[in-house]
Amino acid sequence: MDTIFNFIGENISMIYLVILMVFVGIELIGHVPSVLHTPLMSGANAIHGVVLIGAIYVMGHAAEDDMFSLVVGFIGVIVGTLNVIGGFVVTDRMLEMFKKKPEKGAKS
Amino acid sequence: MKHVQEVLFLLGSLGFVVGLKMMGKPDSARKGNLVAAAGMLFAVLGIMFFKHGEEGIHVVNNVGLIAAAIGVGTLVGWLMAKRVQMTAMPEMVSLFNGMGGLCAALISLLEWKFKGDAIATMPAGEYLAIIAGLIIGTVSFVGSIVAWGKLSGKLGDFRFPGQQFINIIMLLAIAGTAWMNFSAAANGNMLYFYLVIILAAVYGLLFVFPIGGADMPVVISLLNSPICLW
Repeated sequence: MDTIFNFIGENISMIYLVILMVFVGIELIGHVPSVLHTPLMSGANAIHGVVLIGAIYVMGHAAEDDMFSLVVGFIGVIVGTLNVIGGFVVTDRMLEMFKKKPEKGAKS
Repeated sequence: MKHVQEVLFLLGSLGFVVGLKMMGKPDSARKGNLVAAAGMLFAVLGIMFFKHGEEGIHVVNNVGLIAAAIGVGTLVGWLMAKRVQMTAMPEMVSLFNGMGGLCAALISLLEWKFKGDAIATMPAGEYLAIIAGLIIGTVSFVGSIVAWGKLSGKLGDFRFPGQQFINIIMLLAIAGTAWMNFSAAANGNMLYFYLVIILAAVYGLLFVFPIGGADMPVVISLLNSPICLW
């Protein structure tokens, strides 16, 4: 019991953040028209590519002669960037289709 | 000007929230996507060039290699996303999602390695962040790849009786192994660490095989990275 209380005490701001973020997430996604669900899912996917920040962070901590860490970090950054860039571009292409429905073949 | 990184991260988070909100309305949806992308750019710049450590603000180590990796990822991601057929969009999103999961798992792997002897004295919160990143990343990677295979028609459905029950058992097994790993790793025993990865991968398979393309818990992944930075 004591350990659990200590854990909560030590990480209290993180716990607040997680709980509040859950409500922000629900609030943001809650009242969206269903046509926008697919691009929103795709956009959220791109945003969760922020793990890229973590990848840059750990790779920035690797020693310059630590081959294993550099290789793993390198792959991590590539793959994270794929998620971010691919996600945003795909979302943009999806949303492009929503624009100016009446005019056929209109491109912005 | 000590806290450039913090300000950039704040702008980044703001960009994500505002961008997502704008994406919820048809008129502003496309702009919202760009706002979120701009937020991401702020965050990346912040971590790469304004790292706020003990010795003040500095550029992160291995910055050349990191920039090269970002370049490769940008080029490949851009081309893949531009060339994909509209009808093949869902599997593309799934594949990208899996890449994010792989990224999270690799981060945890590296963090774990960097901890080295400090594992024994690591606070529980930090351990939780690393091991959760590893499990969620692995499940999300394997699950997304399976979803990608199914959406593109390469893989079929696969069901067996009692699957739900086995899935719950698997989850408990993962949690148990992760728990045991905490004390085992302090004594230099890495067996449980690898076991966690294998179990999470198997769970990813079992979880997605019987259903259609499932979206992984995006919010958890989103939270995963600030925990790593904590």
